[in-house]
Formats: sequence, C-alpha cells, structure tokens
Amino acid sequence: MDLATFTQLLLSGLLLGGIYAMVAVGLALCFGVLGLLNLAHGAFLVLAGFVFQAVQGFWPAGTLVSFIMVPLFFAGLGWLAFRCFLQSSLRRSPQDFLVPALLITLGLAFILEEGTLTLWDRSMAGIVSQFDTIRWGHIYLPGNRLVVLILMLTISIGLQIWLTRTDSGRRLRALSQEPTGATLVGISLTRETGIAFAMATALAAMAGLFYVTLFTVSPHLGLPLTLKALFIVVISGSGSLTRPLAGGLALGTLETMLAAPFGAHWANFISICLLLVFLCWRPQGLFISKREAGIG
Amino acid sequence: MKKGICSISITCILLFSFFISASDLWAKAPEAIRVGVSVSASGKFSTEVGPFQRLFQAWVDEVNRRGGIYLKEYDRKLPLKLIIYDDRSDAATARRYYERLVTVDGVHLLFGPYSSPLTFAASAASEQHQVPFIAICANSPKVYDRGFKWIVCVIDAASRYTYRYWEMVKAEGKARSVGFVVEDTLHPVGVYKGSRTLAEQAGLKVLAGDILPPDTSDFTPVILKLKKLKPEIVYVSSNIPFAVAFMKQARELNLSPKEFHCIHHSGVFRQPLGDAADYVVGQSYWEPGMQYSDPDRFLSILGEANIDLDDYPWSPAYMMAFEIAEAALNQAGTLEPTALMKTLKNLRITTLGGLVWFAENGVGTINTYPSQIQKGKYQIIWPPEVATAEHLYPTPAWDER
Repeated sequence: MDLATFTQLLLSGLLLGGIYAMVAVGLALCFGVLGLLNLAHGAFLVLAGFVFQAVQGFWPAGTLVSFIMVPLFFAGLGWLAFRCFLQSSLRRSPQDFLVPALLITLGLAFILEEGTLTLWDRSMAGIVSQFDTIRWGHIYLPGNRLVVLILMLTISIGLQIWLTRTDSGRRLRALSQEPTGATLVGISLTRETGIAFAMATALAAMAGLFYVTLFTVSPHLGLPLTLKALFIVVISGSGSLTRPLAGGLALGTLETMLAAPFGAHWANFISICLLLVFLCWRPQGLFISKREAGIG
Repeated sequence: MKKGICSISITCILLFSFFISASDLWAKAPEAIRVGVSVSASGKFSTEVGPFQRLFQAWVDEVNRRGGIYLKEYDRKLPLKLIIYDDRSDAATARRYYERLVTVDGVHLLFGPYSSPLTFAASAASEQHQVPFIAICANSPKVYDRGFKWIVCVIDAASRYTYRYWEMVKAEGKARSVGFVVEDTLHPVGVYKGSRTLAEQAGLKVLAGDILPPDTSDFTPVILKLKKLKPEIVYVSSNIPFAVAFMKQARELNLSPKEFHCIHHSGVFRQPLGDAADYVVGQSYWEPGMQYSDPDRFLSILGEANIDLDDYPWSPAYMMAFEIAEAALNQAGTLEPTALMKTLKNLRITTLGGLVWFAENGVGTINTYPSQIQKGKYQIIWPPEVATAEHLYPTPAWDER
C-alpha cells in the first residue's frame, strides 16, 4: 500500500467516523448522561431526512435556513414526545425508568416509522450533496464529510462545555448521578430531562440532515441506525459527550483501514471483534479511565 | 286426444328440463372472478410496494368499468373481485394468507407477493391446492427449481436480468473490461453471477468483482482499487440506496470509468445524485416512448392509483401481470383451474414490456431494457427497434461535465 492510498484510507476512515459520531451523539446525551435509552433516536433521524427533503422540494434555496429550523422543529417535537409519552412514567418511577423508557421509545419508533411511510408514501429520501470535494494531489477530501467532522468537533466540545460549565448542564449531571438528592435540592426532574430529550432529538435531526445528503434514508432505517449509535455509545463509555466522537472515529477508521486488505465483510467483523476485545479489557468503555468509572 | 296429451306432456317435460339446465348453467356462473394477492403494505418491503394495493384496486376498477372479463363458458362478462391482505413483508404471514385466499376466500387466480423469499413461501399454498399463481417480482431460480406446476412468473431469471446490455456492449465493440461492485443481497448477487458470465461471453475482461455488505458506508477501499485497475465499465449490481452512496463517493473520489452501469437507476436514484446521475446506464422494464401493448392504459391506471413511475419503476411488471391474467382468463373462457393453468402455460401475448411466454418451469420472458439517463431523462438505448435514443459512450470525466 503506497503512502497516498494509506493517507486517503485514513482520511476517509476519519470522515466516516465523524458521520458515525454525528449519528451517536444525541443517543449519548440520552443514554450516556441520563440513562434513558431512546430507541426512537434513529426514527427521528430518518423523519428529519424526509422533512429536509420536503423543505428542499418547496424551497430549494432554503438549505441554510433548514439546517437551523429543522433541528429546532425537532427539538419541539422531542419535547412534545417527552411530555406525552415519557413524563408520567418518569414521575412514577425515576429509579427504574430504563425499562419503561425502552418500551415507550420502541413504540414511538414504530409510530414514527409508519407515520413517515404514510405521510410520504415513498421508499426513500436523498438530497444532492451540498459541498464540493477538496483535492490535494492524489488525496480527495469530500466537502460534505469534512463539514460533518468539523461540525461534530464543534458540537461535541460545545455540549461538553454546556454539560460541565453551565448551571443547566450541572443540573442534568446531578440528576443522572443522584436523582433523589437532586430533586430534594429543587431540581425539576421532568423539566431537565425533557430539555435533554429535546436537545437529543434536535441532534438526531441534525444527523438526519447530513445523513440524507451523504446517503439515502428509508422509513425502516431507524432501528438499525439506533443500534449502530448504541454500539458507538457503549464502546465509547458514558458520561462525556466528546467520547462518541472518539468512538465514532475509532470505528470508522478501523472499518475503512481494514476493508482494504481484508474486504468489507471481514473488516466489519474484525473491527467489531477488536472493539469487543477492548471492552473485555476496559468494560467501562474505550475512552474512560477506571478511576473515572469507579472500577478497581 | 290421447296422442295430443302425450305430445303436450313431452313438450312440457322438454321445456322444463331446458329451463332447469339453463338455470343450472346460470347458477354455476360465479358472481365475480375472485383474484387474490398479498401486498407488503407494512414491514421492510413496504417502501418498495407499500401503495400497490391501490394499483391492484385501480386495475380491478378499470376492468369492472368495462363490464369485466368475458368468459365463454358463461357467455358473459364477469367482474373482478379483489381480495387483498397485508403480508407484513414476512414469508410465514404470506404463506398463511395465501392458504386463506385459496381455502376460505376461494379465489380463482392468485398474483404473487413482492420478492423471491415471499413468493417461495406463498406459492407452496397454490401448488398444494392447485390454483393458478402468477408471480411478478420474484426471479430467484430457487422459486422455480422445485418442479411446481401451478406457477408462472412474468419476468425472466435473475441471471439474465441484464442480458440485453451485454448484447449491446458486444454489438458496439467499444468496451474491453469491466469491474463489478455488488451488494450482498439475493437479487443483486444473482444478477452479478449471470452478468459476469454474460460479460465474459461478450469478450470483456473482468478486472474486479467485489461483493460488499448492504450497509457499506465507505466505498473508499473499493474505489481506490478500481482507480488502479481502470476498468472501462464499472457495473454496480445493487439496490438503489447502495448505488446512490457508491455513486456519490465515486464522484467525490474522482473515479471516472468510461461507463457506470447501476442495475437499478430509477427516479429515486436520480434525485439524490442530481446531474451526477447523467450518463449512468441501468435497466428499465418500461419507459414512456416504448409502444408495446397499451401504454396509455397503463399510465391511466398508474395515475388512478396515484403511483409515480419514477418512484416505483417495477410497477410496469405488475401491469404486465394484469395483462397476462386478462388474456389467460379470456382465452381459457373458464374458471376451471386446470384449463386456466394450461392456458397460462401456453400463453403467448404482447404485453407492455414486450412478448411474453413461459418456460416449462414457469419462468417468463419479460426482461429489462438498457436505459441511460440523458439530461435527466431515461432513454432506452437497446435494442435498436425499441431504442428511444442513442447510447452515449464514453461518459465524460467528472471535471469535464
């Protein structure tokens, strides 16, 4: 393998990792920070892709506005979904919320999936790429993927700062670490969780906007995407919102670099095996220390 | 006097028996021709055939508006009655519903569900109960290698899916090599295996044959390989999402062969690619401009069903199935299953997609035509008697467009 090929594979792997991280970050906020496993994450992503395509159809010049308005709309939708389906269950049993949330969001995923299919009555959505490729000699950097990676870096750092440096973020962490104590000091469990759920839905929508320009989305893609995101969150370790980026980059790079010598089928298999071996060695996740996780 | 009474009695008996037999004949004629089908209105195939319940209903309504289908046995037209279920894209559910269609609903004719796996399961019910079964989008050899007698399929075997393309490549004599990129699912792999042989028979050198997982997100390794090997044709045997992702990345990484061939390149393929879809060759069952059978009737039924041809490019195969069913019923003139099946097997008619007849195992002759996207429009490029435009070859490089 010559240097140009190696560099191209490495860059493509990193850019793919950026996409993986984009898909995973919303789920990381819900699952990694709140302990709420949102199985409707992928369905929101897919729905956002369809909405984006519809907006593009009506208003082709409104791409930039869509990139702001669609996530905001989905934040509202996420908030509404939380209030309608999850809030009462969270109030009743905040300690054992994981299982009810799992079932409720699974139901929500099916509703969104069938809703998307009924509303659009078509098999898939896809958008023409928005950015050109940058070329350096024999190396190509696809503009869309580069934007995703840069945006992911910004979002990850921004979210981490919000989580650690702002009152709202601190309240959320307090709730995730000690819900009873946090509630006793006056933090509203439902309000803060609702805000986080709305943010996670907006992030899923943001991922959907990019996903639909890079690939295509179909109504039944939601659950497979949620599982991929969950895999990244699990290998990355919970608690921090920069870790999904690292996890995504690791997975993307491994998959692409291994596909060249071993083929894509084996690359997927080997990369998952490698990551599982890492997990046996570091069950707290790849990017979290034992001290941080309270192990040993 | 006695003689008179006797002849009146005989006349009465004769008249009575005539009325009895005539009324018996009318009683035998069913109220309608019952046709049964399951459509994947939910589940994974719903994205491909979800609204096809409407297509079946639109066809039935259109036939019934004309009074139905004439059956000689009853000397009158009988309307169609459609019995339809949602198989949820699941083979076991499809089998159950076809069993029900035959045993409870008492259908006279069955149309197959979408895809080979579902057809494989559903056709077992029709074979067991001996009811004619017209398979539509199911061309895996596995379905037809079982020696079933009660099945025919509209379309040709998967291995011959693109034979007209290779015929064209050979006749033109311009291309010398090909590299295959294949999605690892039943239909694309079946098409690839046949196409590889056909390409070799057409005198092309096969430089690559990469079978990739259906959820492949990054094609960089295979694109870099193809850039090194420089095949003149890059042939993508896959479903549309896979092909779209590949084409986007081929453009991003500047892979410029003399031709891209994507076996499925319908409107949903063109939309996310924009002008990058221009010059791509693929396969079409039918495109406006082809003049077999009655295209206006098809477009009218499609319009009534509110189905877009670009979104559902396999819908012409369904119209061909309808034409086959109508012709078979008409020619058989009866609903008696054995006679109907025999007529189906011996049928030879021109449908929307061309002439159709069936091999001994039931496989039909309808095949796709090579078509090329030229300035955003689909043009059939081979054979010359059907072509709507000339084949544009070679494809300009990305930076020359």
